Amino acid sequence: MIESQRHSYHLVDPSPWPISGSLGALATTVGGVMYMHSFQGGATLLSLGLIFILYTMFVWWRDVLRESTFEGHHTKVVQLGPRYGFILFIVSEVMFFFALFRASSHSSLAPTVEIGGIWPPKGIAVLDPWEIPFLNTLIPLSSGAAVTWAHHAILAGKEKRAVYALVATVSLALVFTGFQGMEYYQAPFTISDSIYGSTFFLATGFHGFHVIIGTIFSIICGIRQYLGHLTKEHHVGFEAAAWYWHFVDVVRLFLFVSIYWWGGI
Amino acid sequence: MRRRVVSSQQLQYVQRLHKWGAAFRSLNSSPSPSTTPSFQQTTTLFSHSEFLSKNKRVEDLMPIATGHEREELEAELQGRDILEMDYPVGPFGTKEAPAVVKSVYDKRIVGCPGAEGEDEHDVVWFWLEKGKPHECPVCSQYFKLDVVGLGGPPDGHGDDH
Amino acid sequence: MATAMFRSSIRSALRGGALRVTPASKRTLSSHSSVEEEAREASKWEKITYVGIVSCTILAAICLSKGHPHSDEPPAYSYLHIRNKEFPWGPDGLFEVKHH
Repeated sequence: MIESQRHSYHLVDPSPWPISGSLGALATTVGGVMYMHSFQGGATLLSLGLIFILYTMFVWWRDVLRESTFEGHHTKVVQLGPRYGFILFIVSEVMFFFALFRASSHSSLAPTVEIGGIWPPKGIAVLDPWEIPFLNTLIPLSSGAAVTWAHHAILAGKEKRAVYALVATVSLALVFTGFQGMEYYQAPFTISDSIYGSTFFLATGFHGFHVIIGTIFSIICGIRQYLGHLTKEHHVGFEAAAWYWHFVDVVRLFLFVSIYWWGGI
Repeated sequence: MRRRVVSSQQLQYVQRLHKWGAAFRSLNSSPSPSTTPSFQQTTTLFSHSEFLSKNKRVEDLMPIATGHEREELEAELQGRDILEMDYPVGPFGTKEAPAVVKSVYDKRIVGCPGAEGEDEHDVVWFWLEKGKPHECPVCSQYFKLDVVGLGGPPDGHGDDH
Repeated sequence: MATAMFRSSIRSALRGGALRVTPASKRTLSSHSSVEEEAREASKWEKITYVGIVSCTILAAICLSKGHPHSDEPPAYSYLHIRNKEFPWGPDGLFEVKHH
């Protein structure tokens, strides 16, 4: 009974997942460094660490679902925590991408004499922004429209339509990832080709990584919607996924304008 | 970002308050939050008057609700405030009509902010004990404790078992 | 469009969707739009999504049919093909393809 705890907050039961996640992070970082310096066992430790982190994510969030949807601990005031928290997380991600964009503009706005004093540097054959890059900007936009469709469908109580909308969201996202992989494969330059390659692949690469995260998040939402976890009154997890997805989309827009389009002219 | 919400019952209370033109407040003491009548609910995000008129059940709004969420929702729909976590507000307490502060235990920390408007003062904190009505040293507002729970000391000491 | 959606969804999320109370609302909890309004919004976005899918498919077909010109190898500038240290997995980059 909520009266027995005399407050509507949720004091979480002790859990092993924070420490297991920390150990996984330790293994990943140490293993990663070992691997990059070609130490024996580096690759193994790195893979173990990554698997451990993924496992921790799975069980931790599974527990959150259990506490919220199945046990009803997430009262209105408890929901505010994840809401504000996720927004702050997205803000931190914005800071991260700001750094990547800044790195690109630092080099592109005042190209050094070593690369020919021009941007793009001499010898770099840039991609035509109006081919795959433009397509890969329209696709996330459509995916964003699909997730908005899903949100309104959930709010309207149209549960099946919401599943279809999330399927559309995820499908478009997967198509994007496929095309992006193709672009990477066909690109005439690599990450090792001057500062242009470095900034290009770091910015687009981390963006792609975030797209994959957002895709997985949306898949989980689709599964949960199919299972009936999300109601029109209470769907904080879905809202978080939608915000994240729109954030990734906005980053893509900035990428297209600053790196693909402006960076190539 | 949060709206101050007032139920239809509480609306009348507000009108009476303005007539008497004063307010008192008491705070939950940290070890023992006690139930108090609340005037403003800062955590609800929807209008109460709409709720009470529609008279919906939890099933209509969110059928899979369970546990604490369900209890909170149910109470919301019935216009009840199950936890009464907010500080109580009421008319200025006098010797004849003291400001009554509910408490689960035999004593509770209370803060007096004075009367409405110009007669406000910095909050004065004191322990309000059962059977010992207290007068605020600044504005002489009169407080009385009303034990609605089990009684006993709030820190639980004094129990031999 | 995405930024506006992003911002408006943040705003409505933070306020719990309870800023304006419309008297025509039949549902009590989400006091800013009723089920019918939400359903209309949902079909609007559904149509926008379909427009997006169709245009992306057309554009994709155009892109894929084009093929890309194989430009000549650029001159071996010192800042290209940097290999100060070999990759842990060998000499080639991950997405690098040996054309010859």
